[in-house]
Amino acid sequence: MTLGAHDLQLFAPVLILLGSAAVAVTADLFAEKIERGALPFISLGGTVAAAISLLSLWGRNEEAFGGALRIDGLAIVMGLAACAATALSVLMSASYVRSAGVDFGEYYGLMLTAAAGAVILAQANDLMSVFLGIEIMSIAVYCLTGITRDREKSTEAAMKYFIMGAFSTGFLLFGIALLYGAVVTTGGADGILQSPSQSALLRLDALARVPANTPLLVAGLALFLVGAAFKIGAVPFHAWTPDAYEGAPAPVTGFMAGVVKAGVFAVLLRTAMVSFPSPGIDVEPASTWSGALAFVAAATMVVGNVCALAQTNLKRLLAYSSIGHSGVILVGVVVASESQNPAPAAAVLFYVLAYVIMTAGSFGLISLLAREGGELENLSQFSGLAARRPAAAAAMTLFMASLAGIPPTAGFMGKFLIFREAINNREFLWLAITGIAASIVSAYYYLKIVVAMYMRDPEKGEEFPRGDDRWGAILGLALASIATVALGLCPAKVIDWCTAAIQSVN
Amino acid sequence: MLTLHNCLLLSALLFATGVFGVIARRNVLIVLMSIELMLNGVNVAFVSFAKFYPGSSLAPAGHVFVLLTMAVAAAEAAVGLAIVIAWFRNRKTTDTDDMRSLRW
Repeated sequence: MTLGAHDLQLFAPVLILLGSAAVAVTADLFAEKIERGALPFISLGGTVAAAISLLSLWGRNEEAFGGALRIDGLAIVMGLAACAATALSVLMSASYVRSAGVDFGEYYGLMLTAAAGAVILAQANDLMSVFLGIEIMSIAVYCLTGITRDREKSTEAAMKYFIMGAFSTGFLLFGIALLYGAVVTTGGADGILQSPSQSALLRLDALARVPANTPLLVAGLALFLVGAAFKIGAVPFHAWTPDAYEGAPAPVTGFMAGVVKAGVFAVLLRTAMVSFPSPGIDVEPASTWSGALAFVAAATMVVGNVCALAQTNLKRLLAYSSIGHSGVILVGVVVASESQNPAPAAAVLFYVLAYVIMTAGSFGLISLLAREGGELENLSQFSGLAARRPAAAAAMTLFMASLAGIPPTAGFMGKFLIFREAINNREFLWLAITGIAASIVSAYYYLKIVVAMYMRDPEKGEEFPRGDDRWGAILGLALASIATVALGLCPAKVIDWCTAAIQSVN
Repeated sequence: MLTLHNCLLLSALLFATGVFGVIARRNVLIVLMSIELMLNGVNVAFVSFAKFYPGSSLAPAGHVFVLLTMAVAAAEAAVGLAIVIAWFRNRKTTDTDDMRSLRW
């Protein structure tokens, strides 16, 4: 294997993101306070350029770096989801970080680095790139969580997130080691894998050739899934999620909710399709993997949505709601791993796109309403928002409706697609019923926010900060609102596009 | 005896010691060290799989993975200690039981 121009061309999106991260960090060294205003533009430019270069790779379906990365439709759509989350978060951040006094180049540099990690994850085709992508993304996000380092909540959230994240990385890595061992001990002996390239031993599709009942494979897969479940906040490994989401600055919360999920779900989906393809019969690893994941998905939907009911802090409430959404996406992954048909996997892609946009929107609104001293977090602080700031309240209502899955929004379409596939696959009917019940429960707490904004009087002395000069956040919210409605009203084109993306994965 | 079985046993023991440390110890610094121990347990597993590769040649992918793991562990430790310092400046403690400003 030699490193050629071909590899670098396929790797261009990641290089662009990392390059603009470096530019943002170095520009800050030479910039006076006033020139820091250029940093969001640099980051936004880098993200958009990366998205365009991803789009330009559409239809290539090639491998780079001797098979370590694979650029196909799945990689492009998930990479675009990560870029969309990054672009929206940069827009929402600009004024927020200035008023919080953390508008360093490092802030944007870390954001772009985390985005690069997520794009690597979307393309990861062997276990080594999976590990490196997850670490590049996670380490940057740990730092971002604690970026407001004089706020106790922020540093505590970073501490908790770091400990749980590094702990889960240990499990993920042990799982990877055992999966590697399963390939080495079985594949090597049979001579299936006597290929000239040693990296073939780590490829995701090498796992498909390991005999189903190899103990190392089963143990490795279990540990791998534990690690991945930590990262997406799936029950029973979700305990860090509310703390990290509440303590992190609002634009960072929106960013990590979207980008981390896009990256890790890309890996889960690719593993489901490439490493453990279901040949339509009950093969042991495929059915154990989807059986275990199905229970995790059901528990995640129920626990996330039920715990959210009792929350009075908006960021914490949205954290539990994000756990619930992880559960819904997991339902899609489970159904996709049991199906030959591209529709369930395409539904997962659609849902991740929708989720990224509506989450960035709802946390963007919290960023817009933040002021010098802190954020509006308590539900009661949102009382009467509609009378004072009607546009903000309307946007929030739209995002809440979308998260709850009320038509005609992106969230409704996403849930509809995933649950339709679950119902079509008779085996997972119970998952669809659980999910729909959990969604109905979730409507209660989303509507609670809307009721507070529209039907309550403002608390005494509550002044909603005017955000008219926060052009970045306003533009970001406008884009997120338009995308939420557009994906809900005319999803056909995006669905076709997601289906084509899935068909390009062999 | 240096067999694959024994090497994996050592790896699992190291990993389990690390897991126990993360769960049972209350000092953040010891928790960080335990996480390093977990990663080192994994490294032993990688190296032993590479050594006992039954094919015709070595399986250096395992060795390479260990080098990457060590680099990543170093990056993780740097960030982890920085976060500990930031938290310590706010709270003046390294006891995980004192992480109480975020709950429920």
